[in-house]
Amino acid sequence: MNLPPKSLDQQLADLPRSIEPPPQVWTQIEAAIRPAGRSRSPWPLALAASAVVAAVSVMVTWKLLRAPPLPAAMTGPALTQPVTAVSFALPQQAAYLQGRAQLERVFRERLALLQPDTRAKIEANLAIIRNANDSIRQALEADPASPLLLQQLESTQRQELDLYTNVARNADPAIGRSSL
Amino acid sequence: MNRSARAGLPPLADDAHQPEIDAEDVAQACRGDQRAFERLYRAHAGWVFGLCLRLTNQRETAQDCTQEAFVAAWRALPRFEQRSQFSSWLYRIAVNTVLARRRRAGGLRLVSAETHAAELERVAGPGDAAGPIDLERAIAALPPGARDVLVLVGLYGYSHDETAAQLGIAAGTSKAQLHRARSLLAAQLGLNAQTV
Repeated sequence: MNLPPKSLDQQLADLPRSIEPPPQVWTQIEAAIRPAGRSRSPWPLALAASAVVAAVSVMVTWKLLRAPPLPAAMTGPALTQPVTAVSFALPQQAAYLQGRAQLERVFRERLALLQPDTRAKIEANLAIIRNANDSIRQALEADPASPLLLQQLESTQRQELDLYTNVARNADPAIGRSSL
Repeated sequence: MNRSARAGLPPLADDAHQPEIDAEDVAQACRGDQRAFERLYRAHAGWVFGLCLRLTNQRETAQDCTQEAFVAAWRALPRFEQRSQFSSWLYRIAVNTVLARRRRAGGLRLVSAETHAAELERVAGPGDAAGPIDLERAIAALPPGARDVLVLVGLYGYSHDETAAQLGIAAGTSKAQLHRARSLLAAQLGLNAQTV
């Protein structure tokens, strides 16, 4: 006598939910949590430091850009294109990468119009923001699901875009701010 | 995880083996006791790895996600308020880890159903050719959206509301995807209307 086939629900219920991972998984977890311990986990400090220096960097750059313009006249067809803000999106998205690349190109062109001292300071501040961004990305490697870190990553990336936009707009030769 | 949410579905085969909440271990781990955390790992790693393996279809990725989820849980333990079960909290972290990895990778990594079944057979041991491995193969061959919902609702007992919240879809979409998954599975397994 043949038994009737099991229902789909019964077959699903019969599947084992628990599948033991290989032993090295715990070894790797142990290595990840052992060296520093939770209380000395590097990312909160790195995160705090990154957020602070990035915020300071943006503030300093903003003050630099608000300084009275110095006379200089450098214009060219490539430098007169309008600057538009790039909305933030996940870095994996092609639209974000394309928009960022375009904005960065204009930023570089407009940066070249600035006084050397100003340019050096802005580039130093950009480096600070990028370092902050890198620190958060490293922390995300260890804690990829952290909403706090993801929020901080978005914040620093937005700050970088804001810096590009501010420099590009304030050093726009078409509106007479070709040098700061 | 709200097990009562499985209304209309039979009890899970290994419900009896679902790890009991060890409040003392959780409390000790919250205070930084790694031995207590290792006991929690031993109790829950099988569920977490099984969940990750079925959601990712890839053994190495599932291992990585399991590792990331437990490390994330260790770091977040001081913020665990114990209003929910530790297991529910941990499994939610595991699902979020898988989803975050997918987003970083730019989407789903598609693996053939045969590869997935081979992975499961390798870790679970050889099975009856007409039994669970066939079902695992059929699950792995489901479209990603339908498979996610089937794994979370049909296998791991999440409610549609929980599943919808985790996957970022509407609860109605979750129900529709489950229906679709069940229909596709029934067709693949040759089940008729009476046995679905």
